[in-house]
Amino acid sequence: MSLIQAHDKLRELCRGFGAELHAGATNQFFFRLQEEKLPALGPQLRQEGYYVVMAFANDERELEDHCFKLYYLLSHPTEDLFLVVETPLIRGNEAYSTISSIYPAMKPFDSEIVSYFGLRPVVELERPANICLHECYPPDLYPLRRDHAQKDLLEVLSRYRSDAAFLPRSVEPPPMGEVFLPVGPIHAGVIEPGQFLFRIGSETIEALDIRLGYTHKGIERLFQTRFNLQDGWRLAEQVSGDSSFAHSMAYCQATEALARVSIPYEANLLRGLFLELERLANHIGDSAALAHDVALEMIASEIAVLREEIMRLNGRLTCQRFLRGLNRPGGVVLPQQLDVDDARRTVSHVTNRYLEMAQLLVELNDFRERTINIGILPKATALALGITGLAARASGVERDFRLQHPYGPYSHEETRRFMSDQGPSDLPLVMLLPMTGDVFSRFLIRAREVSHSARLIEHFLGLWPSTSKHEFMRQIDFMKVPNFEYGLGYAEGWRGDVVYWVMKDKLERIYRCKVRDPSILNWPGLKAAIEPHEVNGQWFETTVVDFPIVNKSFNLSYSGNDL
Amino acid sequence: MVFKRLREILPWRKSLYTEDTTHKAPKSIFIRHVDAGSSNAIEQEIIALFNPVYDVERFGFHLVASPRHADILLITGPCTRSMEAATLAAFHAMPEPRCVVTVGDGFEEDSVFYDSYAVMPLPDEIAAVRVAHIPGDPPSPQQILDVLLDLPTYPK
Repeated sequence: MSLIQAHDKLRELCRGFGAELHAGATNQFFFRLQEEKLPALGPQLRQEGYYVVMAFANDERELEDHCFKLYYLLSHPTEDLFLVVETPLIRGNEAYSTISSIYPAMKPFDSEIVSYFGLRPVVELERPANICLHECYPPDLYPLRRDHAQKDLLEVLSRYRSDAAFLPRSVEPPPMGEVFLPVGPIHAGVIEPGQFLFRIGSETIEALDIRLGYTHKGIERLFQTRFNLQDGWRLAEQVSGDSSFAHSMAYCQATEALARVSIPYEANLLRGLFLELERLANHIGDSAALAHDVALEMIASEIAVLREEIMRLNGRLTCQRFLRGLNRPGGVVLPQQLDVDDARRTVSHVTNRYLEMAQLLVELNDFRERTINIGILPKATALALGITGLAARASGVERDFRLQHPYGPYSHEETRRFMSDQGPSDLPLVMLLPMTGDVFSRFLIRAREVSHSARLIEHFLGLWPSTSKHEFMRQIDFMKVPNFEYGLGYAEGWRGDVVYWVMKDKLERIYRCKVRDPSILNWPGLKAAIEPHEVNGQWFETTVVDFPIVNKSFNLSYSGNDL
Repeated sequence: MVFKRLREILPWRKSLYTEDTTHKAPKSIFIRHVDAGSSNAIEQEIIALFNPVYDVERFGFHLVASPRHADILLITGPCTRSMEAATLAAFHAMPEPRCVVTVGDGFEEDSVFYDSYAVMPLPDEIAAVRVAHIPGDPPSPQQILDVLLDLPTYPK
């Protein structure tokens, strides 16, 4: 099906439900719908294969429609086409009809909407909705409503005292013969805080309840109160440290889409280069952690050294090991000349060594026994839950925004050709096994992507013009942008697609910035992979000792989920 | 078999090692790390401290699983409202004398999180025994290591 056909089909489908609006970009279909009609449209979209990218609320009570609005962003399964649905609630109404029964991926977004806006889904949520804001917050705070002045909000919070501990709400006693094993929020290793409540019978995990929200920093409100469109990148790169560059890139692309500015060629090349370097560093670091978790310390140490070499390369190229402070709306700021030779040399050296180590791991029985058929996330479950990024690809769901929604550096003709031309791979056959969704697959996909990223970096460096004068920035005057326009930006970070939706206010400030880290969609995937389930007629259970390695193979961000 | 193959493909990486500061080694210090709400960048740098390049264990620093074993609480921030109680609980579980080192720009006055409803200043009790703060966004492993080696007082 071509893009035009897909577009026409979508228009056909949505006719009779609402009105088409003027979209912000050519690959978007912007559509307004009466809120109660959504449950009728949902199943049809689902049948066409559309999947949920994100959903969020916006308090537009002081704008022309005088109501709360819900926005849904869905993507066509294969074509570069987004469906943006805008559903205004009836004025004064705070209930909305959720489509989480059709799209389970909606559930985490439902909890966000309930916690931050106080809107209620017509159908009650299965889980208590307080996981975003813990008991240390007043139950009716709703921090993203715009009628709270910042001073009042802080005042209310300073007076509020809660006796509730940081541990979970009281739970029902477990069935006979089973026990609860609470772990966290502070874990034994150096990782972020989150609480896992296991229900275990003998050694296997019967059920897992994941409680997040410990690192909630009020980021979406900070975008509105403290930052303007020009400097919002500073906050965006703090959302999730390991994906700093993907986040600031998605933010900047959203502002550029808002202003309809295209950035210089060199700036796009740099963004592509740094995004791939970030992917390289994280995939290599995770491989080291997986080797560490199966107690293959020598291999883990060796791979950890390789990661350090990439981090130092980042430091040499940009003066910042985490590639922070580079992206700006309109381009990239590079503190010094790009050392093409250094980048090329280091990346090829690191990748070659890494692939040797990865092959060693893949062939090693000690590693295979701990990873094959452990923590399986079957393809059907991944599709149903709307899992995205690396975890989806490891389950055989081809979901990659670089291919499917080519943006910025990946939209150039040469790069598109490079991305779609897979060609004969130079990887050994053992690394090209089909994806089954277990820990081993998630390791293999990392090894493959390291190899692919290295070739992509080589490709970007090959395109780098050898002239000494480069243009990296295009100034954006946000005052000229119409008020209350929105811009959509996305970047395929190493964990999956990072999506930003930015709305401008009357001045140069941010009226609403919705941040969507891939982790928010993938946490339910971890739960599904851990809990007992059937795959192809076989019953799989996970033991408690295998939990860390399954968790590590997903390596989801707590900070990006909690915002 | 593994070891033989490893020996074949591993060169001796002396060039990557940091300068020899072994003489500064402050005996044996047990560290408990608490993420009070940071983005995970600082955590990655702390993990990097234990790779063969920085290898802080050669100076006697060890990461421990329980705060009951810890001399130092290494807090990365900012401190969120939701983590305040857990951070305090970890702190109270430490034996005395105890000290605290904070890492990252999240604790600075002008951090990007300043004025957020969800971010708290460091609790007074903890701030009282803070012996060092390591600024940076995030600080590199070398910067963290330098501060750890130069801490003025370690609890005896």
